[in-house]
Amino acid sequence: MTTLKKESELELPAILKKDSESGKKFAKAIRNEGNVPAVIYGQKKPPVAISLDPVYLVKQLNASDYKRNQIFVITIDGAQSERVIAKDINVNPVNNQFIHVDFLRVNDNDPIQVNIPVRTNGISAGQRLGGVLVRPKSAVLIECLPQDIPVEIVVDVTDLKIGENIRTHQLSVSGSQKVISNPNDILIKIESTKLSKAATAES
Amino acid sequence: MLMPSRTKYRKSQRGRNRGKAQSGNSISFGDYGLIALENVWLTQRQIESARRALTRYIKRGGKVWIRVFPDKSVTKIPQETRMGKGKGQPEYWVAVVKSGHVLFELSGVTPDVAREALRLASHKLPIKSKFIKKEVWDQ
Repeated sequence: MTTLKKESELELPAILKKDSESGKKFAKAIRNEGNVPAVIYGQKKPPVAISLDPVYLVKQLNASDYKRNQIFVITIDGAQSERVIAKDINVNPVNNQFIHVDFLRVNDNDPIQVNIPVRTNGISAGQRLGGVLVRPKSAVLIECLPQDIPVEIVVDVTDLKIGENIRTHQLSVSGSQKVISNPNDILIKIESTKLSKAATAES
Repeated sequence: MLMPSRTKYRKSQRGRNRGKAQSGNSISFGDYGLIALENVWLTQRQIESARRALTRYIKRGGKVWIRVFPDKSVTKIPQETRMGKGKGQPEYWVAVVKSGHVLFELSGVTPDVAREALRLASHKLPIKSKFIKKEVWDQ
């Protein structure tokens, strides 16, 4: 089980919204222009309402190794800059368009909670017998400093047989990282299928 | 076919079915899914039919999750019966589905197999539906 370290921060241009331009009417107007309303909060500073280009944001998220956990430097109107992480992204499930984005300010000294995806490595012994790998939870909640956010947690599943599983407490994390998720949560399990039952019956 | 084993009340009022799904609108278990693009009552027969099409195509590999459950009874007055004399008897069960709700999820198969299996399943449903896969924001 390994974690990879982060290397770079990406820039994200945004437009500052006036205090009077808040509410449903202005949010709809922003979306009609092709932008998405967003807010920056945290670090005991007043929240800042902004709007940004969702297409550029999606491109940056997809291009980044860290996906949702990428740290951005948002430059507001080309002047003020904020170091943030995407805390919540509201998406329309029908057309996949962004509705609203929440950004949380990050500071190198304050730990934050992030969901880290769990990736499997190798083909398990159970899968070779026709079993199927199931991931009831594809990510774990971790508390760590912004500079220690891992890209992903890689779990070796080659020895996993049918009926066996890997729980959260079996993950190894390093440094300032602390697992917040329930230690008994099942992350990966190998379930039997008709194919695997037939194979075991034959043998 | 899916149906509740026990209910508190046998008959339910029809209600309204408007708006988008606020929950159950993202992939939670598998890697691929089928979402509803319209608001509808899905009957137990339609769900079962789609499930069969799905599992037959993926044969014995992969895992399927059914994300909707028909927990609402629909009553019907018998044919050639005069109006009145109260509400009819429960006839079948439906799942109240809003647009954006994930209907089925799949894992353990290749993307091409998942797309084709869910396409076949979608033809068994009375609504427009869309194939989806896990996105960055679904983490």
